[in-house]
Amino acid sequence: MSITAEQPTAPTDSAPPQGSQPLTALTPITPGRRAQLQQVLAMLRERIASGGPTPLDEIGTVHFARWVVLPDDQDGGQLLFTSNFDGPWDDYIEDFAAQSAESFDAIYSNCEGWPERGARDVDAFKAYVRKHEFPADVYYRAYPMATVPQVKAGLKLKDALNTVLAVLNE
Amino acid sequence: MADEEESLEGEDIQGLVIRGYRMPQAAYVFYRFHGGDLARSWLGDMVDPVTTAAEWDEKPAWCANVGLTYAGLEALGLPAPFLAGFPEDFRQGMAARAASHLGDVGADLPEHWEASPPFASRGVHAVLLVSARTEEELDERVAAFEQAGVACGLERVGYQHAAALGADHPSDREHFGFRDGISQPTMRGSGLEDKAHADRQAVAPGEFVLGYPDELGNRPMPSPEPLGRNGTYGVYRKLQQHVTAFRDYVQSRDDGDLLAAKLMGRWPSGAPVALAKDGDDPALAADPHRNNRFRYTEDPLGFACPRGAHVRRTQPRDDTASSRRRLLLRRGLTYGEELPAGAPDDGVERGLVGLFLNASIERQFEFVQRKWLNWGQFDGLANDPDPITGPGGGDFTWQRRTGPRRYQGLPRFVTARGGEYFFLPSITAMRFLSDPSSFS
Repeated sequence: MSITAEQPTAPTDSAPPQGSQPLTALTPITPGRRAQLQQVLAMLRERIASGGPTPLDEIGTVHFARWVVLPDDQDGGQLLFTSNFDGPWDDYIEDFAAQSAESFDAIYSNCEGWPERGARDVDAFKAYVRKHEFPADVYYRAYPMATVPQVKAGLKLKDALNTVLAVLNE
Repeated sequence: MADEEESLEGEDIQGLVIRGYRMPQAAYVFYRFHGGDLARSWLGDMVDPVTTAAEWDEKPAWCANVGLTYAGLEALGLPAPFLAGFPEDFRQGMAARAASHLGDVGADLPEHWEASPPFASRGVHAVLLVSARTEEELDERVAAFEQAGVACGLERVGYQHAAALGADHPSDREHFGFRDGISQPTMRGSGLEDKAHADRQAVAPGEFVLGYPDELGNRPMPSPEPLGRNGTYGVYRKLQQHVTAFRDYVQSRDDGDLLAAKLMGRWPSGAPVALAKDGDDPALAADPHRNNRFRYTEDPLGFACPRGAHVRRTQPRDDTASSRRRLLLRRGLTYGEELPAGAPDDGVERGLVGLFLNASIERQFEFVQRKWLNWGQFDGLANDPDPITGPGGGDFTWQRRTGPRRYQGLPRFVTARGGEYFFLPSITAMRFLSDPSSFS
């Protein structure tokens, strides 16, 4: 059973929206595949926890990304994906297709309707996301216009300044 | 991600898609169709003279190529189901997308474009691009084509002449004095990946020619196959260059020559600033095996080549699939009389006629223009649009070990005067479009 939005998220053929953007997608887990999905997610979790670079880092525009399994009372359920990213939706999906196709395929091959050729089939990938996407009814941002590089640079600068202050106060 | 190398069908692809002709004279003649039948017969008549990418034994005296806008395809009578197979970017045309998808502002916007050609009102249906070795040959050829066009009800709505600088010895310099065209991507299967082009990025052919696998193995193209395969999209954009403004700005500053090189990312000789960070290196510039072989990975902070420099921001050189999908084949040529060094502003218009070839206007041309050139916050910078092609009013940050130098409120050096998105059909597609029985 698939849950889809009442009002689909509009395709971005008008002016791109400003600042960081949300993406919320709910995809039906293929019955019987939930355990396998959870294994794949566990591996990704470990990779992130070990601090090694993941495809999400390489894309450079992802603030946050979260996969959450919403189990049903059998062996399926829904997979929730939420993310916050810089820049237009199309570029974001394009980057996932070019940089992280394997990771996406490993996860979404366990969901119904995933394109045969996987994330690399960019048009099919975009259509899949659009079909399962929900527009945010409310989107709150503490720093709407800050991009991932700006946040990282800002933190680095703060550390450097603190070091300078420490030296000056010795 | 092709498993076998498919070679490109040169005889079916228009010549300039595979190779730059390197001819010093060019004319872009813009037409409007009057009557679908007549327009189709014109296109059919152009099949023979159009230059293909088949191998040359010797270079011809002239070359001719044809492009069609979406409005032109409509005027040819292409039925709605076929029109629907073309992507949204091409369908809307450049004028409708300049603000939203190119990030253009101010004087670059369509309301300020030249009245002729009528790009702002989508009044152009087709472009005939003629290249030749001399202006006499060019004029002769254009006149001959004009006669044939008029006989088919074509109305000329615009004309742009372009010619390499340096009347007697055509050079590859542009009006600001920089050598242009050093870096071009090479398509796998084009036959140009070996030999002297070893320094160039080899890219899946589908990034530039429809119907071949792109970097992700996809082959998007308008259907049916006779219409889409072996075609491509060409972005035409006329860029006026304000030469005295550039010269005055650069020369009024300390280290003016070094600053100019830092703005561009190459010295006027062509030597890349990434490899020649303090002074020009003519030997490096002249060596085709070295002048384009470099990365920015050892220079992440921009101390050698500033992060906002023109050539750095238009091509990241990081060898990722993502970046290989943002490349452009450039087929431009200068226009307007050269302004001698030291001469005052003569009020003459001069600049660059750009023709950028790509399989996806949105993913390639529009993305580069909007996110890499026009965006002031490119690569974590604060207010730094492209210092050469940007709208002016922004900053240029010259990163240095001793602390960055920031140039504020840069003047505008380049203004867009018009542009449009064209489909460059294959020879098969030209036959398909000119034969009304194709549509039933």
